[in-house]
This record gives sequence, C-alpha cells and structure tokens, in this order.
Amino acid sequence: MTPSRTRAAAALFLAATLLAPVWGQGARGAREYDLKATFLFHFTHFVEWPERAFASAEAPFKVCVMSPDPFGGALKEVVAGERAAGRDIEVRTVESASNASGCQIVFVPEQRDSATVRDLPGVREGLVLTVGEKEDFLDRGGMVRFGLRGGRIRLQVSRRALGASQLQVSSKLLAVAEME
Amino acid sequence: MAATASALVLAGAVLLVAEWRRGRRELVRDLEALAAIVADQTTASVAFQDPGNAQQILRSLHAKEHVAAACIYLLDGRRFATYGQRSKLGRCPERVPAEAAAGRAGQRVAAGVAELWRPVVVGGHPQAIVFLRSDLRWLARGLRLQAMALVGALLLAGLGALLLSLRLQRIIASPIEELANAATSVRERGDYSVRVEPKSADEVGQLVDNFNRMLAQIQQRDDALLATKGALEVRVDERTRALAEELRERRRAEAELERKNRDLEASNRELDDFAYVASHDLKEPLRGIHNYAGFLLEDYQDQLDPAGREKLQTLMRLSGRMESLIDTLLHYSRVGRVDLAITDVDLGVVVSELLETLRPALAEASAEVRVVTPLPVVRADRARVDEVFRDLVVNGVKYNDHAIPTVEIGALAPGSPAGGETPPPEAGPVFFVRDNGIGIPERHQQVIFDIFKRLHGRDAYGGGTGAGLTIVKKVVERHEGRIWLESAPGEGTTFYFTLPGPLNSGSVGRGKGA
Repeated sequence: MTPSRTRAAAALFLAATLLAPVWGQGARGAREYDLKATFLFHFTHFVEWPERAFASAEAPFKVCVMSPDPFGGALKEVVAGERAAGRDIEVRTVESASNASGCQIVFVPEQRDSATVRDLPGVREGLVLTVGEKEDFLDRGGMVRFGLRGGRIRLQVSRRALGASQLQVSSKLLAVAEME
Repeated sequence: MAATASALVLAGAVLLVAEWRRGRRELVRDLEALAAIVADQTTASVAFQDPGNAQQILRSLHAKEHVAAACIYLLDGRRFATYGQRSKLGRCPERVPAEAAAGRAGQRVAAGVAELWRPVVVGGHPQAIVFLRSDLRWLARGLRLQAMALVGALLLAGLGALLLSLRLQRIIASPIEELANAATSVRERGDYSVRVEPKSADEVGQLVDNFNRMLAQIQQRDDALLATKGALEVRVDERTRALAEELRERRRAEAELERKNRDLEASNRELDDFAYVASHDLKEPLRGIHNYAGFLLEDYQDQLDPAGREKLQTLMRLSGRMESLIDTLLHYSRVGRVDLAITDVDLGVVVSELLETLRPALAEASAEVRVVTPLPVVRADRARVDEVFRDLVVNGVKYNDHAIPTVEIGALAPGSPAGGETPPPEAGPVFFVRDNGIGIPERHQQVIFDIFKRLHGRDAYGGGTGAGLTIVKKVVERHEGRIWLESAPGEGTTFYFTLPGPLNSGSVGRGKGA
C-alpha cells in the first residue's frame, strides 16, 4: 500500500468511527462523548488564547476535565499526537476548581454545579475557555454549552462571557453556534 | 480586400480562441478561489457538524452564475451540504473521485464543464471535501457576445475600408491607371506626344507632371536624334559617292598607266626588233656596195684618174664605217634583247683573266692597271660583266694624256657612299674603275652614255663608234644595277656601278669589300 492510500484509509476509518454513529443514531448514543471530545479538540482551532494564558513558553496546552470524566479514554485518543497553539496537548482530570490552574480549556460535566466555573483559576482574567453541559451553564458564567437540538449536538455560546474574556473566538465558530 | 478580410477573420478567430482559453483559465482560477473560500468558511460547520451553516455558505455561491453545483462531502462519501442550479449540471455526483476522498485537491476540465475539489482542513487534517462545478456554457455565452461584437466590428471596418479604397481609387489609382495606359501607348506605338492630364497638386499630381516632363524630354531628344541621323546619313552618302568617284578615277588612271606601260614595252620591243632587223638587213646591201666599190677600184684602176680613185676609196671607207656602226647597233640591240646567262661570277677571276688578255695592248700604251681591293662574287652574266670592265679599263687608258696611264679597279661594301651617291644596300656591292685620264667636263657627264655620242673628233683618242658606254650602261641596268661617275677635267674619271651580290649575299660581299 502506498502512503497516500494508507492515509486515506486511516481518514476513512477515523470518520467512520467518530461520525457515522452520531449521524445515524443521534447524539444520544454510546459515542456521544466521542463526538464531544472531538468538539473540545476542535475548539483549539477556532479560539486563540493570549500568550499569558500559558505558564511558560514550553508549557503544554492543557485540557482539564472536571470529574467525573464522562469521556473515558475518548478525549485522550482524540488529542493523541496533536498540538494546539503550537504546543503539546495534555488532558487532565481535576477534582476541584482549585486544582484546575493553568488550564486553557475546562470541561464541566453534567454532574457538576455550573457555578464551579466562577471559582476556576484564570476565569476572572478571562484566560480559560469554559465548556459545560448543564442547562444553566451559560447563565452561571460559562462560555460554551453542548446543547441538543433535533437529536444533534448544538453549540451554545454566551456572548457576554466571551466578550468579557481575553479569548479570540473565530466568527466561523460563532456562525455554527447559537448565541445566548 | 479579401486578404485583409480573411486576415481579420482569422485574427478574430484566434482572438476568440485565445479569449475562450483565457476565460476558461480564469474561470478555473475563480473556481479555485471560491473552493478555497468555501473550504475555509465551512471548517467550523464540518468541525462542529452543522450542515445548515454549510448549506448557507454554499447558497451564497448563487452570486456566481457559472457555478452550477457545489457540494460538501464527508470523507466517507456522504453529502454534507449541497447547492445546485436548476439544470442537469446542478446535481452533484453521488461520489467524489478517489483522490478527493483521500483529501487531495484536484480538478477536471471537460467539454462544457470544469470540476474542482478541495479538502476542508481542520487542525491540519482533511475533514471533508468541497466540490464545485462550473458550467462553461456560461463562458460560451459571453464569448458568443464577444464574437458577435467582433463580427460587427469586422463588418464596420470592412465597410470603412471599402469606402476608403473607393476614395483612394479616385485619388491615386485612377491617375496611376492613366499613367500606365500612357506608358503602354508610348511603348507600343513609340508615340512620345502622349500626355496625361494632371488632376491634383499632390504627390500623384507631381508624378503625372514628372511623367509628362520626361515624355517631353524624350520626345525632344528623339527628334534631335532623328535630325542628326538624317544629316549624318546625307553626309555619309556624299562621302561614299565621293570615295566611289575617287576610286573610279584612280582605277581609270591605273588602267591608263598600265596601258601606257604595255604600249611602251611593245614599242620598245618593236624598236629593238626594228633596230635588229634594220641593221641586219642593211648589212647585206652595204656589203654589196663595199664589195662593188672594191671591184671598181681593182678592175678599173687604169681607167680611173686619181680623183676617181680617191672618191671610190672614200666610198669604201664610209661603207666600212657604216658597217661597223651597224655592227655596233646589232651588238647593242643584242644586249637589250638576248636573255642573260646569270650565274655566280667571281669578279676577281674575271678581272685577272681580262687583264691577262689586255696585257699586250696595255704594255704598248705603257699603262698600269691595279686591282686595289679584293673583288667579290656577283650574280651576273659573265661575258657581259667582262665587257663592262673591259670597256671601262680600255676607255680609262684610251682617253689619257699621262705618260703612264693608270687605272684602279676595286669594290666597296653594299650601301657605301661613293661619288656623291649612296646606293641602297640591297643593290649589292659598289664597284669602281678609276683612271687618271683627261676627265669629263660637268656639262658632258649626262650625254656620254648616249649612243654614238663622241666628245672628240672621229679619229681622236683612237676613234670608235661611241657606243661603248651606252652598252656598259645597258648591261649594268639589265643586271638591275646603276652606273654613275665622278670626274674633273685633267684629273681623271671614276665610274661607279652596282651589281647584285650572290643569293646568300650580304656577308660575302661586305666581307670582301672591307
């Protein structure tokens, strides 16, 4: 097999494994969090963080998932070998808000109180992209919520929270999101 | 005109083809740009699974008329978003090409259709495929419009050119045509009086003007040439006639001269014949007269008185004298008539033999004869040449008052000056016979060669008929030679004469004469 064939096959495999089930059976399948993990990774392509969001020039890009981690190994699989903002990507599971220092993306699962967001280090400085699931996530200061509409995952974005932050969000991302 | 039109049509066709290619190239480029934009704009749609947004973006392609269809495929081949015009080109293909599925860009330009695909890349990975299709017929529509404009322009230009050429025809072509006609008539008829009427003052007018002037000049020269030619012909005729006249005159003169020569020769011959016949026939009766006078004197001696006897003796003497005259005349005429027996003659031998035979007579006269130079060989008749030397030597001794008459014989090289004359070298050696005799006065030097001419009394200086020098001259002249003399009374006389050298002459004569 030629390298291009190999790559094509790999891409097909990836697409098939990641997307096909979601499309076919709706978001509420076993692979819901596979899709959400992909989305989390994709945020790194449409959002720019200021340099001071990182502890040092060598510091990795940290994606923090507050426990309980709903992704299983999916998120780690998605970012494996990838880079964001020119850095290696590190996925961490954190228990409490105080443990989440130095994170560029913090995911707050359904089980956690949305208010936790306010206590996250760096949020006040507007250096952290907060992504949550709970209904009131955006009302409580969250930036992006994975909502559901017509069986599909829809992005919902808080204009206010994003506007207050130091993050540069691509208009393309905003174009596919519902603005709250 | 036709060439221009076809060139224009060709140029138009080339232009259209070039335009078509350029348009197609630009269309593809436009399509590429659109694909890039769409691929970029739909990254979020693909990344976050929002086909509605992608659909919206594709719909914005509506502004681009040539885009017949636009679709976004996922990598597994399913259509994610579609856009299409209401035509048979407006439906995206079921599947994308394999290379597109592999995330590579590509394009395909077929008849009437340009298709192009680009990957949608998110985070460095192809996530979907943008497919765009252009309807080239749209391009053709634009091109058709252009072609029509071109044809219109062509027709307009053609009309303009036609009008212009008609005008040019009037301004340039027709005067030039007239010029050409005039030139043809000049060439065919040689008529230089033709003129072209100038119609304008521009360059063509000047051309016509110059043509006319040139014709006038040629005509003038032609006339002059004709006139000169006529005059020349007249002069040549005159000259020819004069020459012919001259020639006739000369021929007549020549003929006259020839006739006279012939007459002269004939009369000379007749004269010689007459002299010979006369003298020969005269001798016979003369001999009778002499004999009968002798008979009378012998037989009638007794009956004659002394006066009668004396008269008869005189008669005998006179008839004897007449006989000797006739003999001389016969001799002379023989010299003129008889052919010469020409051979190589050694004059040294001839002269020494001559002197031998003359020795008694010379001794009697106490004369001294010397040969002062060697004598050469000549082409001559031996007996005649002997006669010449004999006569001259005898004369030199005879007409001499000195106690010891002296005669010198010698020869000079051909062409030597002698006695006031210089004979031409081809005349041969010059001989001389010099005596110390009584000499000949100047006034007699011309007549001494005349026959029977004697300068002295009949019996003075031993007498003689007076034909010696005449015969000498005749002999020399019959040898193509000349004879002349140099003399002063009381001092002596020198006779000079030429005789032809031997055939291989020159050196021999000259060598001996030196």
